[in-house]
Amino acid sequence: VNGDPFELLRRLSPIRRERVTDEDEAQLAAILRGGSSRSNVQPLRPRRNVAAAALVVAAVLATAAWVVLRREEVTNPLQVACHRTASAVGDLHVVPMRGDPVSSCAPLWTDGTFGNGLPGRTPLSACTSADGTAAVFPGGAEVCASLGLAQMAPPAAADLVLHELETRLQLLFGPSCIPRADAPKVIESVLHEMGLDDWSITLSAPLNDARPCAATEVDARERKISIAARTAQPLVPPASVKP
Amino acid sequence: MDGGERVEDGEVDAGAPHRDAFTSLYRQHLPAVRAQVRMWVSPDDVDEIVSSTFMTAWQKFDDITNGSERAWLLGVARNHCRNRFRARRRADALTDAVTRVTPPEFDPMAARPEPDEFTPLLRALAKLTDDEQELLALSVWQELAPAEIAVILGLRQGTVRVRLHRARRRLETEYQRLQQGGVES
Repeated sequence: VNGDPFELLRRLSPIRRERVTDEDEAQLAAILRGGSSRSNVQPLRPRRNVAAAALVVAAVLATAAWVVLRREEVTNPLQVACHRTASAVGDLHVVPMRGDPVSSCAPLWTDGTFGNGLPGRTPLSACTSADGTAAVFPGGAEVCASLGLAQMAPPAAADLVLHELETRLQLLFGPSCIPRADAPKVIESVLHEMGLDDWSITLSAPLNDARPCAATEVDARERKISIAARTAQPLVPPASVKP
Repeated sequence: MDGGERVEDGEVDAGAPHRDAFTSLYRQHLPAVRAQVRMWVSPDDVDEIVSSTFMTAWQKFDDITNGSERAWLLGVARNHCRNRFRARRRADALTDAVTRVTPPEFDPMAARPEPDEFTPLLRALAKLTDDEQELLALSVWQELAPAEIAVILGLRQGTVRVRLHRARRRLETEYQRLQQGGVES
């Protein structure tokens, strides 16, 4: 044990001392009934005095003025938190990022997850949460500021779409040898699924016996995907795709 | 698909098989989820996060893949922590969790380390960053694979592998250095 700190650490696991108590069993029963025996809403504390309240309002207004103008990029390209209401403590679902955050969350309002759709023609807005994850709320652009969050910076959204596109293509064309004749149809399918129907596809390098498989190059500026030829050896694993 | 079929407004009939499976899931994974949540939030918030996590699990029960239940639950728990408490992770979470393991609560069937054995470990852990401690907790205590940790933390699998490797090396190095230098009380 002396030479292996991990074995020692493993033996000190705090999981061992956690037990399922009677209170936990009551909680289980409550969940199965469709509720919770433990309140998950913190009661608001009453304002002690006017001066304190005024101070808070002033601070909030000052903060709001700042965050209205503030835009931040997301640093988590894989997930987006979809909120059912314009509240940071309401019902939320975390879904994989597919394209942009709003498109990733929108299906939750149409598949019944968030009830019977958005009231009226309420838009969805993407904010950047404190830890760099995209968070989508029902409401206009002002919803981010009202929650103390920065709006998601548009360049980041474009980057995310690009990253998603590159990842998808890498997953398709990296491990497998797709004949170049089949490549345009595969790429078209990906572009269509991502709503990128205005992108074009071109053939770049000639095919030969030594390079029988298709490879892709994404040109974001020209919104173009070039099909090149590569050897039959699989490319780098998808996990190493860079954003 | 939800944990049960909605038969009337506000009423859910999930069926016995769902209930039994969820009950099993709850009892099996509650200790691990609660232990991990203790590292992410202050003690007063633990019950709320754990409760919310399993409520989500019940609502999304059919989304949970066999064999990756713990990772799924921890991912949900971390999201609840992040969204409700703005990641108020405690800086000394892992070392504090280890320190709180007192002998009477420790598994009596397992060999208990002598104090001199785990003093250097605690000191070595204290040298690690919060992120490194979190990775080690998820890897060593929760016994999760890098791919599962990547989903929970919202990182790439390759990034997790690299960071985990560094964290393990740092712990080993610090631990050996402290052992060679003698253990202070």
